[in-house]
Amino acid sequence: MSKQFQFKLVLLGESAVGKSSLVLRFVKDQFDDYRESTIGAAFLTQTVTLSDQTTVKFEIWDTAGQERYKSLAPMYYRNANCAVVVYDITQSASLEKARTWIRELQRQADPSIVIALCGNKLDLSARRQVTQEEAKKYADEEGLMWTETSAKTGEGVTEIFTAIAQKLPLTAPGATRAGAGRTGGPSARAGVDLNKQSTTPGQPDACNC
Amino acid sequence: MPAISLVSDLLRSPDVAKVVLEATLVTASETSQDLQNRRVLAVISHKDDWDLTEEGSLFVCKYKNHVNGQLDELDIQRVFPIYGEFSVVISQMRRGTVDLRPTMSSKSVLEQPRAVITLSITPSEGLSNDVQPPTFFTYDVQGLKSLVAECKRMKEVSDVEANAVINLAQSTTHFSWLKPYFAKHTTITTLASTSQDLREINRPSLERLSPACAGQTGDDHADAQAIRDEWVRVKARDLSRNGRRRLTMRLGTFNVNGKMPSQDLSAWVQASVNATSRSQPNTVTPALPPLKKISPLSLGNAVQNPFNWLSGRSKSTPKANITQPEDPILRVDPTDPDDPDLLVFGFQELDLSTEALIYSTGTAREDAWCLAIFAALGEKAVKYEKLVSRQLMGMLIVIIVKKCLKDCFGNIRTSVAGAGILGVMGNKGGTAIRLSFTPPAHNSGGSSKSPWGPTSLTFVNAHLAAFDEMVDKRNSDFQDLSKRLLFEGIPARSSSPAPESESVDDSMTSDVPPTPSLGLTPSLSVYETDALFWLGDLNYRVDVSDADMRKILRDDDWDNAQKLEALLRFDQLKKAMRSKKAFFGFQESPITHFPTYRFSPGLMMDKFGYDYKRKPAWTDRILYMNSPGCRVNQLAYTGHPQIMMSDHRPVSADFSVDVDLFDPNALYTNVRNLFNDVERLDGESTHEKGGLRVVDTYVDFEKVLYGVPVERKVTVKNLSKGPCAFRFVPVQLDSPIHPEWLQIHPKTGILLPDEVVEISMVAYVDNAIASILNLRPKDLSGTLILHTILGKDHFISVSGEYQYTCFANKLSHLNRLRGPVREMESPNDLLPEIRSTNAPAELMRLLDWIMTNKIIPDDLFLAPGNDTVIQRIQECLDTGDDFPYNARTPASDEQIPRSFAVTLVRFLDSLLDSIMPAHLHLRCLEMTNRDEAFELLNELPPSAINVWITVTSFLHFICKSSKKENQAERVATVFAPIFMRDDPHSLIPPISPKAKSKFLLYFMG
Repeated sequence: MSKQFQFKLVLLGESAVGKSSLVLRFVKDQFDDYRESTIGAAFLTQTVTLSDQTTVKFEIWDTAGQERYKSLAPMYYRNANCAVVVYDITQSASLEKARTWIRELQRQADPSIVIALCGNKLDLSARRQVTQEEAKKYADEEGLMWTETSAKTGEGVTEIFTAIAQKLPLTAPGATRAGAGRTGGPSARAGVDLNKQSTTPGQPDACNC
Repeated sequence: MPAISLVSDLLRSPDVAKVVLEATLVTASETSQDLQNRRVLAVISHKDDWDLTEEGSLFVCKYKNHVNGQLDELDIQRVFPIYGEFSVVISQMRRGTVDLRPTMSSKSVLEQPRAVITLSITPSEGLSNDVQPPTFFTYDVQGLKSLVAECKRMKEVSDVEANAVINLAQSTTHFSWLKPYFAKHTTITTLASTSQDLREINRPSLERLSPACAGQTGDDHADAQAIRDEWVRVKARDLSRNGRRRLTMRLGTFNVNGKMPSQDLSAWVQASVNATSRSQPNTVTPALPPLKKISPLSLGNAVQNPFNWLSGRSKSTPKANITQPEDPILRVDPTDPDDPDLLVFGFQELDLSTEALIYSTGTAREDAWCLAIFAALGEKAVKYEKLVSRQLMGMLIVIIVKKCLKDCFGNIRTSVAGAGILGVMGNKGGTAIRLSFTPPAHNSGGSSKSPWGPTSLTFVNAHLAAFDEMVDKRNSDFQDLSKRLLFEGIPARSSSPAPESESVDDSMTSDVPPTPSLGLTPSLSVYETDALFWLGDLNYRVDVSDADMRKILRDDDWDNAQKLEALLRFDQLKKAMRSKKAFFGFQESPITHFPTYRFSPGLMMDKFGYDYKRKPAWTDRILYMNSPGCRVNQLAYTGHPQIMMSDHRPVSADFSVDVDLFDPNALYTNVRNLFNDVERLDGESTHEKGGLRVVDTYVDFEKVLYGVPVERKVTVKNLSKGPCAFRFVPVQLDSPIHPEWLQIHPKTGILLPDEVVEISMVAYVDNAIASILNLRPKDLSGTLILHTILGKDHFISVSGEYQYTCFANKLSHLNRLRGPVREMESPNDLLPEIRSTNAPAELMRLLDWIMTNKIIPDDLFLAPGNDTVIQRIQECLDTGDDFPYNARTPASDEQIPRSFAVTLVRFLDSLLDSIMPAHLHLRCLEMTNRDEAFELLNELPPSAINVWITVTSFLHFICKSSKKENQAERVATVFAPIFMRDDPHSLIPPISPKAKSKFLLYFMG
């Protein structure tokens, strides 16, 4: 029997690093050269099917990167199961900003949150300011997932979301109907197989052995 | 196109059609394969994408009226959730002839069996005896078998308790996925009918939506519908309105205590006001002034509603705003505008005999009272006749109409419900009448049929539980009656006749009209009307002691209006309304008459005739509730103490009701067209370029001043190809959607493609808000979240710099200012306590100016000032700037000293702390001379003592220099309620205004 899971995912990062473009590529497989900056937050969903027929539905909150709206970010990342923190590989300052977001998530968000650090604009690697080594080292130190993507070419986009889906604990209590107006911590609803052994993040999933 | 794909087009993800069957509806008359009767039955499965439970439903779809014979679109006609008593029954039906026409199924004519199979559907809520289940026949036996098998399977998976009846309109768990389907179908008809639930329609639009906040979407589908319904309803109504007509009515309630009429009732029966004009003083009881006087304390209209204030800066009182000078509204009976068109009388305790509790005692008493009513109408009686009455034991409601308007009233329904002994006996309870009023045609010849649609009016006469302590029972009686008083529904077609061609939305069978409850003809509640009037002996008492009640009523120290205001603060009905325990959403005009209960005929009575054994109370009341489209204006509310035959006194109220002139066909067409415009509301994708575009994402109010409204407009445009709905959501679930100093309008709405809306944002600081903001940092910035339904959250930053003010501030705060209040950096930027001054510098500046100025008008403190001047003075107090009015060169304009005086009064009134705390008020009464009074001041905080002494000695001086006699007494009436402010939450009755003045005069006199 196939299993379905639903997770709340939030995108964070400095303005103009390509958060909305990443989502647009992931959800609609489209790219727009001239996107207006997000003033607010957009809510989208996309489902990923894993190799074992498990489907993971992401409820994605694409937030505004502008500093002015920083105070609202906690509203969007509360109860999130995963966060994609995006920086622009051609702007080293954007990695600094990403670090601040990650620190904030580690401090304020749900302790079990899965965080992925994502260097976007890989198609502009000629103008690279952030080396892969630097970002990877930081990600390793903090225990984050890390990858580089190009929303423009699509490189690495599906992969990062699939990787997150695989890393998420596909058992209770991680799965939640986040975003559907339910307050409080993550909870599982009847119908999910609660007896399956819990796998903690980072451990190899039993199915993949 | 195969039927299955047509059905699939109707479905929402993830619902799927399991089995689809072509069939023909069996109508009562004849079974024919007429296109009109062709249906597609489909078993729809909904799998919750989370917990994998499955719910099923049987849809009955009908082909849309087609052009060129193309059958390529279906409409969902009915939705039968598969649970509870749902069942499908197959039987054989003999047919006389073989239909030779080709059917949708591919089978050849020869394969048609002579006996066709029929399928009957029993809905989940069961069937009442007299209703035939919808029945279909089909030749597709194979398809029928699969359909039945699938229904059976679905029934088995339904984990809903067998036979449980679920209110699908309210359940959030069971079958909530069906809502979009059946709502879509029924709303056109229901939106075009006039009678929405008043409680629902009068709720602020945001309250009707699901809870949501930043990062947590609510139920966007449900919200989309709620916003859409309101939008369609309001807009269609506006488009269809051809003006209004004014109906006038007199309502009366009288607990007659089993007595027969023995006295002239004309005071109660005949309207004492000319209903076309504004309320006039009533000739029977001493006319009392309106409770809300225009005092120099009021900040003007802006206090009521800044939007009104901005739209028309008129000097009128808020009440006058209701009747805007639009087109004059004609009376429904222009030939006789002075007499009410409708008379409604409710009686209680008509018959107290024991047998009356057990069986009907005939109409003798009703006849006697009706006779008395007509006698009281005098020569006007010939104009009227009784339209309808309804009695339950001692409760009787009678409706009398003008003969010339009789034909305008129709669809008369009555209802009764007992609430007395065992909850059903009729010694308590209610009787109710509903009728529809159709304004006569323009040319009042009378013969031509009125082209207008009806307005539904409902009248309830109730007698609720007695005794002081039974307030909970009264509340529950009310709740009970409001549920159990039901009226037989009026078929949708007769109330809003749809044109012949609109058969798409017609019900499938003529005896089962489409209803939101998925099934049978519903009963309508009392609230499902355009205007609801609730009168009767509601028996609510006053929560003050018997002694206090009588003392205040008798006390000459109070004006009548003041007495009533003070006592009504403790009225149980008012309390129940505030706490939403009963009569929530109803309105009642201010009571200006004395308690109507309980009078004694004998010796056991006080000076007013009130029985010593019962605390006087306003038991007899008239309340109302109306839809926004049906304007109700109360013209009078009066007790009639001269009618003394009962232990109660009768009460009457006069109303004018402005009903819409609307063409029901036009309304229906408008609703349908508008509905079509926004039907795809929930189908759009807003993440693409498009959706809503907020043009101004940053709104700066700059300096936000006390008492000065600032308006900004935010433009929102719909750039998408479909309609978009929006609503504001708060940052957190339990927080407001905007800061308290800001008001926004509209808070929800719909934009058609390319449509633009300007959202008005008004920053306005009144005393209540200033008292909060004065204690906070100056920075007012915040973020509003405008949520596109099924789309993005848009952020709108608002900012402003609050300008601290000495108004609505704390005395202890003002005494510790370093300089002008405006120069404060933060609310804690104060001098140490030890260096605090004796009295606020602002107060001293005001007193100094008035003392220096040589002109002291006699009406100083009594007359209003000039608003512009007052505002300038306030500003100078806050900034520390010199007043632009030189006190030494006597102003020729007396408005200036008056404005200073008003500013002083407002300043003192706005102080957060009462100068004489409420708990000391009773002590003030005990003081018999000046020395004792001064002694009492020691109980006050030092800062308050200083203010008290400073201001009273100043007033003493001012009054002394007046040539008028009793100037001090007059001025004391202004200052007494300010110095000795009542605590509205106190359980102790306030002391009389005269007693306050008397105490103050020990210092001023």
